[in-house]
Amino acid sequence: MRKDAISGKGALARFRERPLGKAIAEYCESVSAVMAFFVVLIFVVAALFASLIAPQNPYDLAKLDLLDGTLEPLSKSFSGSVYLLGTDEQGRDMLSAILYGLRISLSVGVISTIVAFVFGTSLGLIAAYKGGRFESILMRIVDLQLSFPALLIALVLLVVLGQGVDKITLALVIVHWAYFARAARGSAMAERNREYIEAARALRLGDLRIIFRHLMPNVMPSIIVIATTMVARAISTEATLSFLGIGLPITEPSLGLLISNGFRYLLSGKYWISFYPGIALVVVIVALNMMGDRLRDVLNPRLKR
Amino acid sequence: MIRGVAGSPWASPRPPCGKDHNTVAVFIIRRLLQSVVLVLVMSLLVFLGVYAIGNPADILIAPDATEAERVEVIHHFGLDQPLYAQYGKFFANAVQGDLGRSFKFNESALKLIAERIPATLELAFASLFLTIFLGIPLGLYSGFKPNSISSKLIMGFSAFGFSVPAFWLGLMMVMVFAVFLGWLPASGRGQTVNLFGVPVSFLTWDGIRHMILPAFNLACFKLSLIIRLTRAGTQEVIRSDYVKYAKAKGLRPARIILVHVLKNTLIPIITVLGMEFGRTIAFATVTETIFAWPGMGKLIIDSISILDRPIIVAYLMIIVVMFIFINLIVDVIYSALDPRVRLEERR
Repeated sequence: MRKDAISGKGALARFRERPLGKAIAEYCESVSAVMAFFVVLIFVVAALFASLIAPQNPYDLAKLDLLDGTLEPLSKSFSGSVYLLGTDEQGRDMLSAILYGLRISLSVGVISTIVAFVFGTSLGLIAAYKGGRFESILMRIVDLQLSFPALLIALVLLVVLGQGVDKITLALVIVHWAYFARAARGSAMAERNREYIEAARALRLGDLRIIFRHLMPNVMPSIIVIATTMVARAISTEATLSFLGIGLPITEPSLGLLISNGFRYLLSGKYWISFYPGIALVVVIVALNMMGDRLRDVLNPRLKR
Repeated sequence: MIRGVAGSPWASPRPPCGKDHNTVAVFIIRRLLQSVVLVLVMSLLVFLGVYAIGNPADILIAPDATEAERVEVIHHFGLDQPLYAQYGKFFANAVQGDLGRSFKFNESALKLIAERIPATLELAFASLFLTIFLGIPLGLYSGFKPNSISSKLIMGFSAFGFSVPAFWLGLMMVMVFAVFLGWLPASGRGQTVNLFGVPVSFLTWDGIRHMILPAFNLACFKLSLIIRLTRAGTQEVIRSDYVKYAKAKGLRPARIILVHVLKNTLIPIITVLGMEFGRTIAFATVTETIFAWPGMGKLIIDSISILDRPIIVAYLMIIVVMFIFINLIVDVIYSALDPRVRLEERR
């Protein structure tokens, strides 16, 4: 650092030489990946401030006017305001409904991924470090679970648990922890025989400290890649289940539920009730996947050199 | 790169496949025994999940029933007995092919599902057909000419089909091809013909027209996956010495592609396709719901919404057995196709 100060480098230049800075700089080399990041950012902000941005509170029944039902995009309402993306059968402004739906979809996706991340990664790391019976039993369960499609397991769990945001989040955690456990164990297997782990052991550090302070940071890059695509997949699975009518109740309308609601009208040519929530969903998922792909290129040590 | 594809749960004992057919038989027998254990475990889980959680009495008994009627019904269905006794009864019945009667249709749940299986399988095989006969040629092409515009289009389609939710693609197909253009019908099976006593759609023009959209919808994800796999495999193989040698020998390009390249890229493709077939059955629930295709996927979604438990249980048990069977076949084919698996065993 002192050397940098002498050579007159700024804080930014110094940051660029650290691993995180390098990774960010490399990520930014891809224009489409940067765009994907900003798209996701815009959607997250829009979801967070939905109640401020939305032209209407779509679930305040007093604000809805049945006379404005199933209006085309850009048509004028009975009271004079313009519905940018049209209205549904109850006269609900679709743009507002999408913003509120985005909030539910994104929070289900993010929260379930964070919980699955914590559980799966911890179990995978402990399995790799401890080995023995715990490892073999855990990996058997992981393999068995991964041999069934995620959608099917989530469907069964929702049959058992019932509907609701908390239930679907739990179901997605149960479905996705196995991916994190497998990836964490896989990367940790390569790390566990390295010198620094041996050194930490020689220092007689506690097992938990070695696992979470020494092993985990070195496994993180590959797990972060998975986490990004997992958010996309969780959002997609939630939307699919809600579309099938078994994910969320009608009181908590995510994007999937909005699409499902508009499906009936799609066949009579009133496409916008399904179409625009679908576009929002697809843009979020594709942008998240693009970020995941770029992160994979940046963080995957196997692709380097 | 391959999403949703897991290693087989029985990966540790590699199928010993080689000259000795006895070892193959032993392997299959061992796997069948493991499968029986797995079916038992899954039946317990399914039973506990669907029957023990929540109170089935609430669904069976009308809310205005008297206390005496309540007790009567609970006793009649054996709901007052301890859980292990209930499971014993469920299991004994299940072995005899009785998974309960549907509350809604008042018919054997197993029979109701069995009637719907052909429609689902027909759709699944149609999508598999599309995947193989579109995906492999497209993947080969974009592997040979990675820089041409059409192969960039192919890869763009593949990336899109890979990440976009299948149900949304299905809706867009309905919107474009059925509602706006009016080219293809968007619901039902169309005219069916009996083939060996089973109604099928693919033998009539009307039936095929009804099948195009759902089959494409179900194939989208697999198609994207197979295009990527074939492309990656092709690019790897065309750099190999034996392809260079074949070219140097002056073999016709068609022969090089069909024999030398295709044969060597086919192994991972077949493995993945086998595993994807299970996913196809699961995702058939989505496609069947969109296109009102009368298969078992639509039946299970309808049954879940009215909590028709015997049908749910029967569906899950059939799915479990199906998956175990598919995994077994995939493992056997894999060991038969890949000579390296055999070589490792011999040493």
